[in-house]
Amino acid sequence: MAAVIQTLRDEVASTLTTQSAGWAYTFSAVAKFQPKFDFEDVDSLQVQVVPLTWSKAPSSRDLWEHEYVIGVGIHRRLAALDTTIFNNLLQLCEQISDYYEDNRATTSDCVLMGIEFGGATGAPYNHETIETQNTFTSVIQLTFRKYR
Amino acid sequence: MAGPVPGRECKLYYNTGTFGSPSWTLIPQVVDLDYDMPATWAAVPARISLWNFEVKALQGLVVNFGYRRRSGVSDAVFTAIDGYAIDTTKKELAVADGAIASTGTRYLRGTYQFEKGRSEPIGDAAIDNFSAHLTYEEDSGTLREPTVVVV
Repeated sequence: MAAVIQTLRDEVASTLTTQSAGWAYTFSAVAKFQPKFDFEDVDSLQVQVVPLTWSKAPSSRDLWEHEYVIGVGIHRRLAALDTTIFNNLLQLCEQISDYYEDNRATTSDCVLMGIEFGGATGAPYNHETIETQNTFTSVIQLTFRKYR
Repeated sequence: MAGPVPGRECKLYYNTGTFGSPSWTLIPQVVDLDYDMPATWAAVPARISLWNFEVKALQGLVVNFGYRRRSGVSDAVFTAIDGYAIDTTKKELAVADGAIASTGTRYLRGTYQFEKGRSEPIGDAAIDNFSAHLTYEEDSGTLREPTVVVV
């Protein structure tokens, strides 16, 4: 039996893969324990899903409130600065975050409580990797909650 | 276990038996609980003294607790307590600092009538808030007053 956070990670990866058919780009999201992108691979769009944090606190005398943060990493290296592709990748980030506003993670039975871009920075994409690697990098942090 | 007790290890029970032979049923999904015993004080000054003495005239007792009901989960305890809040049922509660059958547990026993409200904050789980007010009840002609029991 898998831990809830693992089921949630796998479900997010599977759901994003399925839903991407109607989004700015179609992709196959990969569930990982650790985010890792190979240099050769990021010429095409790479989406990885990784558990980031897990915390819990008492919710009642019999229940605990578990909070899971799942990170969705989006990477693509551009041959040259192409604002059309750049804008489409930004739109993809919005489509991913919008999806979970209205859809519960049903398999793991977790409800979305918050979305952050770039963690504490709030940056929708990493400015440094554009400058140094011509790569669009965005990390969407999805915060889920489950009572068990 | 001796020592200070965190709130989540305290227990709240309701009596599904009789006053003389209680059967204490645990209320498991309690969130926060507090009780107040507000007193009414009568001033008894006298010219004999500078001091304004008071005597306790009346004593109240109200037990407030939140309940974390889970949507889609059958919960007989909630069904029962929710029912008390919409009628005039009188029910005993035991507010205990541990399992009621454990030696050393201290509990407040009283008979109450109930009222309730519900909160559904956008950033947290919904909670049903109950307020149990001490009520008048006799048992075989003997008035039931709150008691503190140490097991």
